[in-house]
Parts: sequence; C-alpha cells; structure tokens
Amino acid sequence: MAFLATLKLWAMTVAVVAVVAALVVFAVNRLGKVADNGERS
Amino acid sequence: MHLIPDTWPHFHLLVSVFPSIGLIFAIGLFIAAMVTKNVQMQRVGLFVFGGLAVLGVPTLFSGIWSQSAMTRPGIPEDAGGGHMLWAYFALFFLLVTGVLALWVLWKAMKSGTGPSWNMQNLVLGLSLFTLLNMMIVGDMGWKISHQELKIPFVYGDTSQVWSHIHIILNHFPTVGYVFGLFFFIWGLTAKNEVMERSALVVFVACAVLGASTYVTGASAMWALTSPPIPAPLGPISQARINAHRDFALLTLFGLAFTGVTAWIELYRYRYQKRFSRITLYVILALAVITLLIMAETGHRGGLINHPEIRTAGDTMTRDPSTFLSPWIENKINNIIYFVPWQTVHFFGYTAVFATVLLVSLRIFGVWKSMPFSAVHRIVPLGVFGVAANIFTGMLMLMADTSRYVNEAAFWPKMFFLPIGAIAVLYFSLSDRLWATKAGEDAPMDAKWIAALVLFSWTIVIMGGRLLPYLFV
Repeated sequence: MAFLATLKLWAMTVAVVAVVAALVVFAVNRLGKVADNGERS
Repeated sequence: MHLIPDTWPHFHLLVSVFPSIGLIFAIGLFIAAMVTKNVQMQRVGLFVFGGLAVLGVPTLFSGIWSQSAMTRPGIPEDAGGGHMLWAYFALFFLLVTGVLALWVLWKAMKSGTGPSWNMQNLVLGLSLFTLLNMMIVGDMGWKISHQELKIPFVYGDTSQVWSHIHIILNHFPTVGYVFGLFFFIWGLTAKNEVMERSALVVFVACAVLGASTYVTGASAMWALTSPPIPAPLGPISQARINAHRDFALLTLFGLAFTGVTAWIELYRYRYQKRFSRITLYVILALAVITLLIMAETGHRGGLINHPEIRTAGDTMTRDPSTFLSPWIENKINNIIYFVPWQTVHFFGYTAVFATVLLVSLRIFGVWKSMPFSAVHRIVPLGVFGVAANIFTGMLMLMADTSRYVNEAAFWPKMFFLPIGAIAVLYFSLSDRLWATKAGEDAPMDAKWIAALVLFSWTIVIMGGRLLPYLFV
C-alpha cells in the first residue's frame, strides 16, 4: 500500500508539473514569436 | 451589488477612499505624464486633481452627517474628533491643489500649449503634501469603526497589525482599477499610447498587490476570530468572512488574468512599438469584470466589521462551512494535492530567480557583448514564474493559513514580494535601458533597480525556506 501511495504521489506531481510546464513553454514560445516579429519589422 | 449606499456612513466609506488612496494613483499617473512629457496625459492628470477636490465636498459632508450614526457600542464618544479636525486641514490642501490644477489646466488650454513645467511641479508638491495629510486622516478614520485594531498583541495570537495592513492594502486594487480604467478608456478613445501603457502598468501593479491583499486578509481572519473579539466589538461572524474571501478568490483570478494580459501587451509594445487593439479591448473587458467582482468583494469585506452599513436584505449569515474557501482548504491539506503544487512552486521560483539573475547581471555589466533587448527576451519566463507562484503560493497558504502568517519569516517574504514583482516592470518600461546596445554600459538607475529586484527576490525565497523554522 505504501508503494502504491508513493507511486500515486509521484504520478500526481509529475502530471501537475508537466501541465504547468507545458503552459509556460507555450506562453514563452508564443511571446518569443511576438518579439521576433517586432525585431524583423 | 450594493453600490448605492443607504446611509451616510456607508456613503462616506465609499467616497472617502478616492481623495485618499486615489490620490496616490493620481500622483503616480501624473508623475508618469511628467516623465514622458505627454501633454495630453498631463492635462488629464490636472483634471483628475480637480475632480478629487470636488469629491472632497461629499467626503466632508458625508463625514459630518455620519457622526450621529457612529454611536454603536464599543466606539468611544470622541473617537472621530481627531479625524474630523485633521480632515479639515487635508481637505483644505486638497481644495488648494485641485483649484490650482484646474487653473493651470485652463491656462494651458487657453494658450494651446502644454501646462507649464514649474506649475506642474507646484501641483505635484502640493498634492504630495495633501497626501501626507490624507494618510494621517485616513488612518484616524479607519480607527473610528475599527476599534479592534487597538487590541494589544498577545503571544500566540495573530497580531491585529495584519488587520490594519489589510484595511489599508485592500483599497489599492479597487481604487487603482478605477483610476487605471479612467486613464485606459481615455487613452483608447484618444489613441494615446502613453496613457494606455500607464494604465496597463496600474493593472499589473494591482494584480501583484491583490496577492498581498489576499494574504493579509487571511491573516486578518485569524486575528479577528482566534481568539474571538470580545463583545461589544465582536464576535466577528465567520460566515461573513467566508462570504468575503470566496469573492476575494474570484478577485485574485480576475486580477491575475487582467494583470498577465496587460503585461503581455507591455511586452508586445516593447518589441513591435504598437499594441494589438483587440487585446487592449480584451483587457478592458477583463478589467471591467474584475472591478465589478472587486466591488462586491469590497462590500462583503465592509460588512464583516461595519454593522452600521448592514441592511435587512443581507443574507450572509448562513453556515460558515458551506462556502468555497473552506472546501479548498480541506482539499489542499491532503498531501496528494499539496505536494504537486508545492513542487510547481519550487520550479516557479527557480524560473523567477534565473530570470532576475540573468537580467540583473547584464545590467551590472556581465555579458556586455549582448544588447539589453536580447537579454530582455527571457523576462516572460520570470513573469509566468511569478504568476504560477502566486497561484501555488496561495494554495499552499490556504493549507494552513494561521501557521504561515504567524511565522517570523513570513512578513519579510510578503513585504519584498510586491517590491520585487513591481520593480521588474522597469526592465520592460525604461527606454534608456532598452537602448543599451552590445558593449555599452547600462544606465546607473537601472543598476540600482536591478540590485533592488535581486535583493527582494533573494529575501522572498529565503523567507519561504525559513518559514517552517522561525516562529514569532
């Protein structure tokens, strides 16, 4: 049971961090394009 | 929504915050107009000083007519004496500032030029002196009804200093939004980009201060309920507090969405030298919705400890456990929810500190081979780190508010958080810093700001780490 509980905690942590990281990467990448467009014009 | 007051004390509460807290925003926006030498914004700023002087009239009379209503148990008979006396001084200087501002505006309009530089400085100086008076009057005013602030601190309890700070701080996002929206709408209508940018800065700053407001509010809750305030001032209803903080949570989300979107537009403007008109209107809609939510939050907050403004129609006396906030507190206390969000919080501050360190080191003179604009590209990472950490930090706080707020490392963390987050705006706003090319030294003022930002975030992170170990 202890192993399952640990696994569940790891899985939940990885999932939450992955979702937030994906959102941040998307937003930073999108703003990078905004900056690129500005520097080209 | 209960924006139309039934009684003079209620009216006084609503109107008096504009010539006091509002004056801070009026002065800030006027300084922005002077620094940018934007004639139109200088004129609007002068007009606002005139408007605040006009608002001084209803503030004065509603105050006089409130005296008879403030005779409830627990308030000493002469409680309003000092407030009233000093209010005459403050309102006199407000009147002088307003009349002078309108006269300078009239002269500028008549001559068709910008307001005279000397006269602008005179108005600014007078307004700062008025603000000093208003701060004293405001604090005396708050202490009339809020006698609980005088309860001395007892070791082991939560200090009433938190309630005091919350009462001051919670007016900043609400009143700030009114001024921000006024300048934003004027800027949109007149297509004045300096006014639009200034309003966006107000929205971002209010978002940061919203987090501080929420935190001090959570602290105030413990100060007011554990142990309960004795009669006749108390006891304070937990249900009323919960009704208020449920809306405070909504406000936080509104402030965050408006603030982050506003920051994105400031970033876009830096690179593209123009705004996305669509996004500006999205920000306008978000800001209006947020202001409406904040108005209700503020009203509910006022109901907690202002029996004189309660009406028979108020229905916030239900079971305290039926609200959203206790439910979230219960959930986040479970390790399966707490640990993942805490992990995000740790990644969040690494992103913030990495960004701050990188940008600051360039400003200090390391990597001079890079132009500042290239280093500035990393700033979004820090901003999203701050956004993520305010969200996760609030969740963690909700797991055990009374423990966090009573730890000795908490207040420095909360003091330097808004300073660090707001000062970062300088990196995106300063034209001189932006113009720093490869091989060039950054301006000296940028170095001071970078040092302040770096120091602030160091204290925020150290404060967080020391939380479990240092007790009041």
